[in-house]
Amino acid sequence: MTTRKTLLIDRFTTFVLALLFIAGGAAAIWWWTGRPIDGTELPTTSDTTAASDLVAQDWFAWTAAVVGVLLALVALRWIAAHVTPNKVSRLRLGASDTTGRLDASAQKVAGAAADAYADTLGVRSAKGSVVRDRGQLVARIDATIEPDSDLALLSRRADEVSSQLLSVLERPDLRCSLHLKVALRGRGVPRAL
Amino acid sequence: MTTTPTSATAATPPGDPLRAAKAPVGTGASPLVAQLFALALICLGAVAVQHLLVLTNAITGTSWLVSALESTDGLRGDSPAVLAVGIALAAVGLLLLPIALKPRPRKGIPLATATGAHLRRQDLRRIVESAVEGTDAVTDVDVNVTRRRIKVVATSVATADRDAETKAEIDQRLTSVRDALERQPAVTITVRHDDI
Repeated sequence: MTTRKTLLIDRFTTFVLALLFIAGGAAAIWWWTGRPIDGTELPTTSDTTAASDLVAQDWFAWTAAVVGVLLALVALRWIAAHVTPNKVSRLRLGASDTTGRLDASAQKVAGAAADAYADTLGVRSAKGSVVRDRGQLVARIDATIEPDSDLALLSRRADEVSSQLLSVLERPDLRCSLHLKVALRGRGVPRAL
Repeated sequence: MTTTPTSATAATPPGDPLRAAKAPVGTGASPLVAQLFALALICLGAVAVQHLLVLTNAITGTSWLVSALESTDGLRGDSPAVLAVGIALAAVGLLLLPIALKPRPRKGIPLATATGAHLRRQDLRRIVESAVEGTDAVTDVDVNVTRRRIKVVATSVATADRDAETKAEIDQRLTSVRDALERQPAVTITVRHDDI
């Protein structure tokens, strides 16, 4: 999952790239037409002599290589920001005070909540994790459900599991997000007659 | 007396649940564009390093940078390639612009819970399909779900005068699904008859 900051940088880059592409495309079409705009006319053939002279300078190769390596490192860090999970590993419990600090493994606690939710009729499996999402600390449960499961029961159980999680952790700042997915092949839920 | 630790699974009387997190949203295509651009930057770095290695005779061959400059020298402005490149660049730019400006897509349909629970659109469609399947005289169901509307087209083998009954039964089967959603969608039911 990507953070908001990374997404903002992505969006800004995409916007700047879009403008550059449009401007470059328009300039190429203008060059092709050969018409003067406001008295300015582009040369009929391209001339890269100035650029070639620059590349031939003694200092250019080293500077370009250093800048190129730095750019590549920044680019690698940028790509890594998209694949790094934003999971929280430890949660400080609400009962912590000046006399002591209580930590719990966030993934274990969320996993226990997911297991509790997986016991619900119609839920095939559930996975839990604690993540940082858009400035919030979120206990996230991903559950796979049967196509014929009872949504009202699933909602009720979601509230129950969530309240148990709150009473165990005593972290009122923690938020909850339950993502339901229907299993590709339904197994059928036993129904009470 | 010792106390045994209780897990989250223990049956405690339910109090207030955790507050709902922000509704799930997708990222759009901008991360893909950004990562492709990052790859292009890495390639640019490789070109600069190759130029240095050729110049210092660490490797043999010609510098990619110098060959690129030589091949673009003396290009005629009125050649069709320039027009093609111009159109392609402008088209890609116009495609990228909405990617950068569109808000993040909402991914889920919220269920009526105090804590946040969401269902994807295609999943709600399958739940509706499953709820409608098995209705008397209905042989086939086609469901279309949006955030505000559930559209059911049922194929019935019964005579047309029983359409109202079929519709009522389908509507009744969908009540529980509709009630479980935070914002109740409008339901449209159409009964179709196969020509035999």
